[in-house]
Amino acid sequence: MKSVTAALLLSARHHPSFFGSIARSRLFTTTLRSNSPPEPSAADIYDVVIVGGGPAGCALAGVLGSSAALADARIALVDPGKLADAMQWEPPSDTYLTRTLQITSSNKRYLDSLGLWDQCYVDRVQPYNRAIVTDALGGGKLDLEGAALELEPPPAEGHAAYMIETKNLAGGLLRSLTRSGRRVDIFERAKVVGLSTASEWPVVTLSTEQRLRTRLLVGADGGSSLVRKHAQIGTYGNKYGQYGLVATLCLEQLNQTAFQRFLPSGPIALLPFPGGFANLVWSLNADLVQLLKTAPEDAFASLVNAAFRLSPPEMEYLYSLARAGATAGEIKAETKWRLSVHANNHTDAESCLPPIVAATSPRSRTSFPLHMRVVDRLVAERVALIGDAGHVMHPLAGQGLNMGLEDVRCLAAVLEQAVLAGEDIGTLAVLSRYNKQRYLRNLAMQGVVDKVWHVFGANASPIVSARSLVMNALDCLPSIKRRLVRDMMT
Amino acid sequence: MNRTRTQFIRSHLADLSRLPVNETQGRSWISGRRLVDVGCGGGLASESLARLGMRVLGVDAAKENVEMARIHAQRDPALKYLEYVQSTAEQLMEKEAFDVVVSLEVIEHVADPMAFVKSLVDLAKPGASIFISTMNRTPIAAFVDVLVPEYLLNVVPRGTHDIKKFIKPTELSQMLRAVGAETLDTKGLVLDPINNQSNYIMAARKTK
Repeated sequence: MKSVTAALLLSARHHPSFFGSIARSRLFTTTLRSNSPPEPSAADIYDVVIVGGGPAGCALAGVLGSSAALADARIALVDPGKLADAMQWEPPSDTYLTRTLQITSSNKRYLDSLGLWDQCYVDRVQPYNRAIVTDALGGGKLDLEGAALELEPPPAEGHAAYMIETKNLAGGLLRSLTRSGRRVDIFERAKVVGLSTASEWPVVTLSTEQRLRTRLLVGADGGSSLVRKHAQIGTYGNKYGQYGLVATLCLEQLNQTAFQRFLPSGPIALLPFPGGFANLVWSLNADLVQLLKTAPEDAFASLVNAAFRLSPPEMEYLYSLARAGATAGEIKAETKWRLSVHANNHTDAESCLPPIVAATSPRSRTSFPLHMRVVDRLVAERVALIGDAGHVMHPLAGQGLNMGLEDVRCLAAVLEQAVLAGEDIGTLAVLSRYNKQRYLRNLAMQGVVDKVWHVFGANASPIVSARSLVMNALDCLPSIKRRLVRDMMT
Repeated sequence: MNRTRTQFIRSHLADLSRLPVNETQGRSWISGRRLVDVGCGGGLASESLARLGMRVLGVDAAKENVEMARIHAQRDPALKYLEYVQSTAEQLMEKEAFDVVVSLEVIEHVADPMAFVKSLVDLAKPGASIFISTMNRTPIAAFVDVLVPEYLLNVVPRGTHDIKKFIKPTELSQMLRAVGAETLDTKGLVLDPINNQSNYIMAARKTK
């Protein structure tokens, strides 16, 4: 009891409103339950149990928790992590985190309209309206600029997309969940240790020894979803054999444009953040990832500048220098010389180049494997999948969470309509409507992203010429560009 | 069809309540009301109506139907205010006890439709809502509800429906008026939502 009281006081002191908000939404952690220990045999009955407290799971919890039609539904959110900590995340003052998300304007407006956006640190979010995509081998260029496209009607906020740190969005969503008006029971530090359908309804057994019996089980538990495995939903994936190398960079000037360049070794992307910071996502093979992760930080910054400007053979030469153990000074000198030659020869190229990277944020480089995962279907009896549990794709188009948020929107609408027709929301009759609307859309997006990866990964010259031709042609067609940008914003 | 019928019943009751839309989305506005489902069969409609929040009594003359409905309802904890009783409408002792009286796809099977309508209205409190759904007596209904299921696809036993017993909406309205209930709305189901050419559901209200 003593430690529990201490924990309660501790959390109250650090976050005064946190303690008061418990009354509305219940937060179960092993430290906060102070009364009798849970009955291991009795199961609590819920209408919806969401497994996975990442952005997709939290967004769904927030939407369902504030839905008038679901006012009497019991909703739970389960996560193995320390959600109380995630809720109280303090952003670093001198850098940005490397795991970030792109959110389309339409998804941001959806979250905002439900009061799920304003708890994020909004000054750390970068709205942007321009993306420049180039192809190193073929010389193609695509400049998508919202302002120049004269969209009709003009967009409400004037921005096609937003860049946000994952922890910022996750924390903001969790804080919104515990505000008044949301009726979600949050089970944190609770790992799912068992899933069964003994009596028709799924029963989730947690590491805290609590058991939850639910009408509908939602898998929001990521690419290697346990819920998906339990539902025996078939999945197949494609390892790209590549890794995403991410880092936080400091630019020489402020920037509000997203840049992406396709190199034979994989696409490199520079995504804008406030204050002259940028998020780097560089897709590379295992050996190059190792090389670049361990290169000295100032050399790394030079190599990023080079990757956006120099030709592929020149990049290969720089890699070989690094492999041979050249010092930071040597790499920087070589890069600097080559970049100056490049600048002399390409005076008109400035407009589609990102600002120069001045420095790498200390110790910010990290990597993760890239793959694509496709599922047979998004639903099973009393089970629905949202977010990465239902689809994983290459980050080159920034669409992963956007598809996840569209899943949330669709599932919430389907469930609301079902409740208003007196239906049992866990039946396949209801869930199939969600599957029908989202399955093909997700598959199409994954397909496009995958094709883009393959098309731009090819080195054969007919493919290179063709893709550059298409890119440049697209660049000259404002009507199609307008359509592309409008799709993201509405 | 059950989904459309439930949606029709819910939205009609919501409109009558004159409450703002956001207050008629949940269950609290409707939770005290008693509904009787006459000729509930296996309980498909009773369950949907009970999930909307009302206290539902499912009534059927056949014992097997009532038993089956009870067993099915036990599977869902949300159906704790759903009860079943084996009876006909006339035999039910609780007259004028219900806020909503519902009878779906029953009247086309009874021997005396006029007496049946009276028994339904007798169960309703004054001012209560009455919902009846059945098949229209049109060539299209004969095709959709008899020829196709009973003679072409053979999914329904022959003789289940007698087209002579199909009732036109105007006829049903007249029957209701004769026993003190005013028709408020009619909606076509299945094939023809606007002109009610095959199945339809009618909403009426018992005047004092």
